[in-house]
Amino acid sequence: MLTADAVITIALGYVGLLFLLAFLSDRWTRRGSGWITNSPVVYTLSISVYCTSWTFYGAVGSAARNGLEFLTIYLGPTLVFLGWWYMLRKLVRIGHVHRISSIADLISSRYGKSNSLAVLVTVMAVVSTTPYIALQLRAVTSSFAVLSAGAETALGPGSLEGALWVAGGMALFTILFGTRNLDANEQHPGVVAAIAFEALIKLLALLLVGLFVVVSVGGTEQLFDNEAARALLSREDAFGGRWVALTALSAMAILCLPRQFQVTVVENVKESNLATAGWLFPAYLLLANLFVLPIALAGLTQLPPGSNPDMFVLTLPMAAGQEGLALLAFIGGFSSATSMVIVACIALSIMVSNHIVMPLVLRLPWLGLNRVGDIKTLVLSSRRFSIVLILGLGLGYYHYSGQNEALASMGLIAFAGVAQFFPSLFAGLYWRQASASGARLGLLGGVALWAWTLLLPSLATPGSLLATIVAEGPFGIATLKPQAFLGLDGLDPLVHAFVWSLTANVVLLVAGSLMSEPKPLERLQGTLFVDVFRNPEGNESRALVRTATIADLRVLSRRILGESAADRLFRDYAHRQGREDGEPVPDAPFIGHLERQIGGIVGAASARVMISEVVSGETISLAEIIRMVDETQQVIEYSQALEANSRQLERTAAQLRQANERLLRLDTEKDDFLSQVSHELRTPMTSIRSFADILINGGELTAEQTARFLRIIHDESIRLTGLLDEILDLSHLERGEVRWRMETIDPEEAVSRAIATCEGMASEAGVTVRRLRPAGPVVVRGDRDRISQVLINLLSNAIKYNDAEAPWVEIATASNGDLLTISVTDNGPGVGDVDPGRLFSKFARGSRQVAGGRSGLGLGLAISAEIARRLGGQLELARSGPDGSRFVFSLPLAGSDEAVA
Amino acid sequence: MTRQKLVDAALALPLFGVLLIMPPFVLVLVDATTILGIPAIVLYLFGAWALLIVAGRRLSRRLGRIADTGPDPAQPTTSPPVPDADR
Repeated sequence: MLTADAVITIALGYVGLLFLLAFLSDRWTRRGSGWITNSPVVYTLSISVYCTSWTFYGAVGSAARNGLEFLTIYLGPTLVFLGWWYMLRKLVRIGHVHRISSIADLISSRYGKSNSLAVLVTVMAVVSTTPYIALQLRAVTSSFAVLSAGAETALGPGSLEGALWVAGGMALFTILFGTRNLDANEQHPGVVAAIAFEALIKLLALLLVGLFVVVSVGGTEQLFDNEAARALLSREDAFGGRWVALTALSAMAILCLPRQFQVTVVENVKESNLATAGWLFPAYLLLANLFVLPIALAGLTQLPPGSNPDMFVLTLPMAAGQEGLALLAFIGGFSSATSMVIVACIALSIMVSNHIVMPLVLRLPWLGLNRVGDIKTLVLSSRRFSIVLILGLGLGYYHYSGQNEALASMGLIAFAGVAQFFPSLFAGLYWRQASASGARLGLLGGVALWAWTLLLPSLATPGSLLATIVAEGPFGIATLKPQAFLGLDGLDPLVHAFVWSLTANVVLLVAGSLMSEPKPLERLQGTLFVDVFRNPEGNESRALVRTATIADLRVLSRRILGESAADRLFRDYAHRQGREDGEPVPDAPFIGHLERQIGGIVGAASARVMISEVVSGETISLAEIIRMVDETQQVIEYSQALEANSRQLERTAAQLRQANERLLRLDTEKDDFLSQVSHELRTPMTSIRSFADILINGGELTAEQTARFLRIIHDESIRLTGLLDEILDLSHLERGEVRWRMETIDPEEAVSRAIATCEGMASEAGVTVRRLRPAGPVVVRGDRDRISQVLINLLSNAIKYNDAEAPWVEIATASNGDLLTISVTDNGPGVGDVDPGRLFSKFARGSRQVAGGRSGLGLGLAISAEIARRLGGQLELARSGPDGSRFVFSLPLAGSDEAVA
Repeated sequence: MTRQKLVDAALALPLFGVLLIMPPFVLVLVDATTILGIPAIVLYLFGAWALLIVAGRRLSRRLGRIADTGPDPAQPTTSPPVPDADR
């Protein structure tokens, strides 16, 4: 059995280690080593101050009572961190640009640096955090009592003396490392290093206890395969309203809890650390919760009935006689409690001192501190005073709440309380029109309903006046009953409070913003916050014009920043302005810069009050604010216009490319055509010329020879003329210069005419011409001669090139309603290797030579296709192969009325 | 993935997470069988959680890169481009 003295000694040793660690980290950072502040892992571990003793002990207790519900508290933050790119990144950027020192400062700064809002948020934060601090103190004293049970000690559960020692130690630590000096960034590397270390310790303790439990019970089967586990895990209502409400609450709390805001936003050094925290923090939460269920189930089955589930983490190793492990668990719980209290105290002390103490002191004219005096020391003292005050409040709450069981539910009540900041925070980040009046109304309404529906019932002890109010409503008015407000009955009390308070909060915020006219400063701040990614530091001086004497500014900043820091700031800024004498020009950007530096220490609202004392001629140009908003709009529109433009350009470029390809193809075709024409003309010309030469020079020619030569010359001239006619014909056709004699004709008649024309040629070649006429009596509109020309060309081709043993050609007509098709089929060799796409272009001709050496000119199909196109029909190759080919010539049928006409 | 797609994915991931852990989908596995002695709903919740973390890690790394090097929308817009010069 561990003695109380041993436990105390070990705990003190651990605390000593923390002090040393914080001291060394502080010193390293001061000497310029950025390792601790820059490390994304340290940053992430410091965020896990979220896991307080409420997690360390309470998650197991919650799991043992309500099954899987404990997970909601960690799933909400997981979702928020997974979406870090949207909200957290914006928050952190605003934190850096505007030197935000707390969540109260953020909300006040966003809504026109309103101090009343800051006070409201601060009071609310203190009210909801005090019980939470009490909860941590209780966790430490109860766990100590459990660990040293049986030993003679005065430090029993709920003992004031033990809590006093713990609180005193924490106050000392917080004052030492949290208010060591004033930094415009409010960053505390010593504290961050200590809580990161504590984060590791508490995770290690939870994991080891969990592993021990699983191993000692004998595997997961033993844990889950019993009545208790089944009853706990298969509850029908596990995923109802509470599940949703708790997840939403925890998601809001991770942003709005003062200590979370402090570690996530204020202590953030590098925005890029978020990229790591975005997944590492959820992973930490997952690990911390991995063994919660096994520990809870083991406690329920292994420990005697009636054991306190909140202490299972401690009592399980103790029951197994593992004192070392129990001690580690105690240290883990101690770590989670102390880190929460320390960070919460720092965050709250900044808020209390900046938004309550300092404004009060500055506004008391008889103190005269608004004009003279050392504010820096004042701020530090008020911080220290605030820390003691807050811890004192927590201690008082701890003492007077006694053994009140309500303390355990305080965690969720605090979550619901700080969640009231969320609507104002969210609207402040994304809605320019959200105004201070709206935020004030929303916060007041939300907090009032939170207090009425959730806080008040939690404080009600049986038989008291509060209990009567909860049961029957105030003065017996049932509609105002805290847990069935306005008759909304049958909900879980927490869901009921969640719905009422946040609905009222949002509705009032929206309505208040829509109905009020924001002040110029509100508008300016709204623009700067919502468009923070487009408004870097110093952009506000575009709209905010003011001036001051450099001497006044120097006095003021020396009082707040200290002499050397103020002089350095002035020198640096003068250097930036390009002035050699080290005296900056007191223009609007410089005053803005100074105000931000001061605001980082005393808060935006107080900084504004102080600066206002020394500046003159301040004007806020609404036109410039509107222009800033417009510019954002313009940039968006401009980039959209650019995008549209580039899309259009791409389209045009594609069209041009296509046109160019077409032109290139046409150019090649034209070249081909020219060389073909020259070739075709050259052959007859050559023979004409040579025979003419012979006739001119040769004397020894018989009359017979002369006659033969002359006939050849004559034949070749005819062929030449025919060729030229065809070329001319095609060129006329293509240019549309042919006059068409359109008339209604019977296609069968044209077919008959074509067959008659080719009869001689067919019989000479021994080709049988067959004719099928299934089309019946139809008419087409067209040029009689031209249609015949096409048919004759098709027929003569089919006859000319047919070298089959029993050659035949078949010509058939058919109509399908509005189209007449005339097909010419043969059993010849097909068109061979000619590309079907080029078949109908000029001079496309099969490479095969016709038996008699007579080859066509190759223009026939081109002309026919052109004619078909001009007549509104088309000519195509339907089939081609070694056993024959089929050409189909289709023409639109003339309408019946036309046919009659 | 383009910058815009990454940024959209950064929004889609938490929304997908909401879908995974909220009713009605989470209700499917209540009362279901056990796997390796552990109730399926427990495995499902922790599995979905782990899946989200893994996806978040991949996404965050790429987002972290564009946040460091990519064209930053935070560039000052003191002289914004005006689409039509004659206004």
